[in-house]
Amino acid sequence: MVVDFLHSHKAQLKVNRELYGEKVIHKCLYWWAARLSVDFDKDDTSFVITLSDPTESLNLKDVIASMKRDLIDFRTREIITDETKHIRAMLIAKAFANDDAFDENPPGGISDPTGFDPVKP
Amino acid sequence: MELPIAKDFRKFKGPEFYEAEFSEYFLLPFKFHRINDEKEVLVNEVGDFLIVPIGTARRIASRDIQKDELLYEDLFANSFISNKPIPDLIDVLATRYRTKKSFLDDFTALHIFVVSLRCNHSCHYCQVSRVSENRQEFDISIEDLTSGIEHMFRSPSPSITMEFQGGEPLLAFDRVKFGVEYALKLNETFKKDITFVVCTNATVFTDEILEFCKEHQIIISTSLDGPEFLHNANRPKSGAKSYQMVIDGINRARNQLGEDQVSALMTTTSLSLEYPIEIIDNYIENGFSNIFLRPISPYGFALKNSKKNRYHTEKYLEFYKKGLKYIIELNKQGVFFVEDYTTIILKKILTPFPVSYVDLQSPAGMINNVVVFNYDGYVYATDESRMLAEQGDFTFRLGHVKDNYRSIFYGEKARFLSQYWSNESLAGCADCGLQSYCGADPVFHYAAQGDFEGYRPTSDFCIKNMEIIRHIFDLLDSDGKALMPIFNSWINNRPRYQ
Amino acid sequence: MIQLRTRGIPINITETLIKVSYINAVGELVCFSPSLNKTVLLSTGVPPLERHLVIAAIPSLKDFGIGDILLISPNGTISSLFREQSAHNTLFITDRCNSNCLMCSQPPKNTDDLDYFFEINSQLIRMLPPDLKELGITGGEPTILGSRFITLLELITEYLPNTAIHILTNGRSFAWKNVAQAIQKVCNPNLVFGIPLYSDYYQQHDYIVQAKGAFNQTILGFHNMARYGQRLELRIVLHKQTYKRLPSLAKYIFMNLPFVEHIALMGLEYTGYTPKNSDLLWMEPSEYADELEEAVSFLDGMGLAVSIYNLQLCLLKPSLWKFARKSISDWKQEYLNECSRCSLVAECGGVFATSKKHSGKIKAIAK
Repeated sequence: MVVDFLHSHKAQLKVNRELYGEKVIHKCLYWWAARLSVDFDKDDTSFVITLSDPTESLNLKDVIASMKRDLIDFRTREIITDETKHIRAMLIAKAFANDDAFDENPPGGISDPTGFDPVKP
Repeated sequence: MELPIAKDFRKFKGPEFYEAEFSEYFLLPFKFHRINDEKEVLVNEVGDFLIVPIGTARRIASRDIQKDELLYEDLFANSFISNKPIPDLIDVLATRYRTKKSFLDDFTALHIFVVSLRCNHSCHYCQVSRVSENRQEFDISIEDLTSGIEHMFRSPSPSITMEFQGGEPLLAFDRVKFGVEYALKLNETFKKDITFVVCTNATVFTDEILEFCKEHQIIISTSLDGPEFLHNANRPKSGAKSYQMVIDGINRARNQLGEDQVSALMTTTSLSLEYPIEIIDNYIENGFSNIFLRPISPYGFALKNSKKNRYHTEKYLEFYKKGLKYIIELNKQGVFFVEDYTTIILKKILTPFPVSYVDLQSPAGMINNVVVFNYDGYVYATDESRMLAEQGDFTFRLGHVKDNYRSIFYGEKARFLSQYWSNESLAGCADCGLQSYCGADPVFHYAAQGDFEGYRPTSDFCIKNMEIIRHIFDLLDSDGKALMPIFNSWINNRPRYQ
Repeated sequence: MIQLRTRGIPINITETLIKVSYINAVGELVCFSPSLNKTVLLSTGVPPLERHLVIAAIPSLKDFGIGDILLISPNGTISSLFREQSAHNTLFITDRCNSNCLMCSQPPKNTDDLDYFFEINSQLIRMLPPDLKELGITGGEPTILGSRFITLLELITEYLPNTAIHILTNGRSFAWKNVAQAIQKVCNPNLVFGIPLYSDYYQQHDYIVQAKGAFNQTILGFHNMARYGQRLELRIVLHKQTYKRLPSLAKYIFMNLPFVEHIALMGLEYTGYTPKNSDLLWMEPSEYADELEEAVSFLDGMGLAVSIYNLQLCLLKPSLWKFARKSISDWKQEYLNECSRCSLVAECGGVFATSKKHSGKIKAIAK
């Protein structure tokens, strides 16, 4: 992330598009938009975020430090959400499905050395 | 089935033999939230949590957790990671998920009947009942009350609560009496498990009223705001001392109905926010073993005055933490005293059971768990909805009691509201680590922000709940060993064994 | 310790179950065999033979009493299957088991004994007193009996409708819904299934029971049984392999298996496989006292019923005394010499007479 202070209450951030998805940036900015004026743009390689603090009450350096932290958190969230969306959908479908709609055989073997199968009489 | 060779089967094998074979673990759905400078809490899809060092979620996602770490076993056992894309125990997780959401199964349980807007008090924060005591047109009509009760019995829920509110409902005791008797008559056919509650200021009891309450095991829910000076300042009553009257009322009701039939709720005002300790002490002095440190209701105040609301939220959070700290100290000294809001959240965090508290659930409690029949025959989604209506906003009016059940409970309005009642799909909530323990409140967000969905960063609902839940985790992290027995005793509502 | 097995000289004996009817004037046990419809005499001496079926020259009859049910064999062995005076009677289903727990007190055998014990048990159930309060079912793993296990439960339901039945099983078979469903169809509300769970981490449980996949099967089994309305008890044996995750296991149980009606935490019985695996298992109970206290007080705090079995009061923190039960079956229970000086001996369950080793920290508690 390249940070360029335009003045003490205005800064431009360039975030590598290969590292963070647009959704991650937006989810992060959602939480800052209440306190800062945020402009969002992109060029070929970066997302360009311009932050300004109209109240001139925040320390922009601190803000940017926590924003970096948030970006990492939101990227982690995105990884988890993406990787688990199928299992989550399945979980909820199973949770609200009627009784045996998704029944499967239990995992693993169960016999003793003399032979036992709970399905057979 | 191929049989294992007996000799090999009975030969003891080392732990490594029982380790599942896989190269890299798979993630299961979970979220996380920072709880202090060092720790974050990981919360899985069914609400199980682990408090871990900050950065752990990132390490998990980047497959950085090693098998020989103790954390690895915890993550596995608590369904954060798995050795298969679909874990062998997915059915157990699904059952847990269904259980957590099972407050939905039975649909509406709490039916609030505003039997009268009349009141003998003129509390300045009251949004609804500024009507003098003698104007009968503010009582619900017997006809509307009848229709409302008939709707109540159309709810699929096997157990229902019929709650009488006002105004002061006991000023229209004939309505309460008719309501209880008619409900009991219908219940001879429906055989539901039915609880009656009267929310009263406890200043208008007569022998007849208390006899009736005793006969039908009606629970008295009254208002006590704390010490005399505070209660009286909050609840002016012309020519009488409200505090002494409510204490007399509480004692009288306890004597006739039994201790556990009488509960008290406090209403928080700006003035109350200065006196958390005094309020708690007052509850203890008056023989209560619990208190609900409620936030200031924004309804009726300049709802859209966000600065004032924010100020109240900040003050309230201080008030709550100070009060909670004091209550915890009391418990550590052996006094059994419960803070109700913390307990609601603890139940969500520490138990696998559904917690149906209408102001903090997802899907929201509105319609799903509560409905309000107003004195004028209109039906509202929540208690707050009818307060908005008193201010001229009928957004959450579901219909009239004379409409049919489907159109009220499953009608266009209900369907519209359903878009906004699950925090799983709200911006800001969808990714929040505390989502499982929180709720959605479209009525609040509509009222405060003019938007059913709401904007979380400035939402007082979000600021308040996020901070309270974070604070509870922070307590569990810093003092968990000492607090768990106390919190368990709150959850189970019984003094702890010492 | 009570002798459940003895031997005499058989005269005209075939294998049969007999019930002790009375003790005659010379101290012999006069018994009746329903299957033969004949009287059988058990004697320490050599009685006149006449037309009796007799087992003679038995070293001692002191451990058998009226109402007891015994199995006698052509070779003269006498095994007590039911003792009228005991609260710890069990049906033994099989020596077979599909697990191989490191600390098994009665190691399994790989012989096919299902038919043999099934026959005995079907007869035994019919001979038990109908007002019997409690009866255990044990093995080996009883569910290996398959559909005949259900048959036995049906027999029990018919002949002992008011008896509390406690079944010890590893619960793995219940992962198969047809098994849980079949048990539901028996419709006996007096059945309680005691199922062990040793860790909340699959690998540890599987290692302890020496069976791959056992953890998953057991958890699914618990859930299926709960779904089909069965009453469940969860059992944990305390030793070196289980104590570390005990608090985590307690939390896991409450979150995932809150429907179990009882949780029993059990001290190690130093017999069977345990001496062989002593290095892996043995530890002084005082060394796991903290973990035990945390787990027990958590479960109790959450409203679950908890008991501690097989641990002597002197080895428990006083805060846990109220959870300690006199759990050791009467026939294998005893006190040590040290215990005679203890003020709490009457409340204490004593030690396993079958254990080849006891804690070195058993100490009389002064008043």
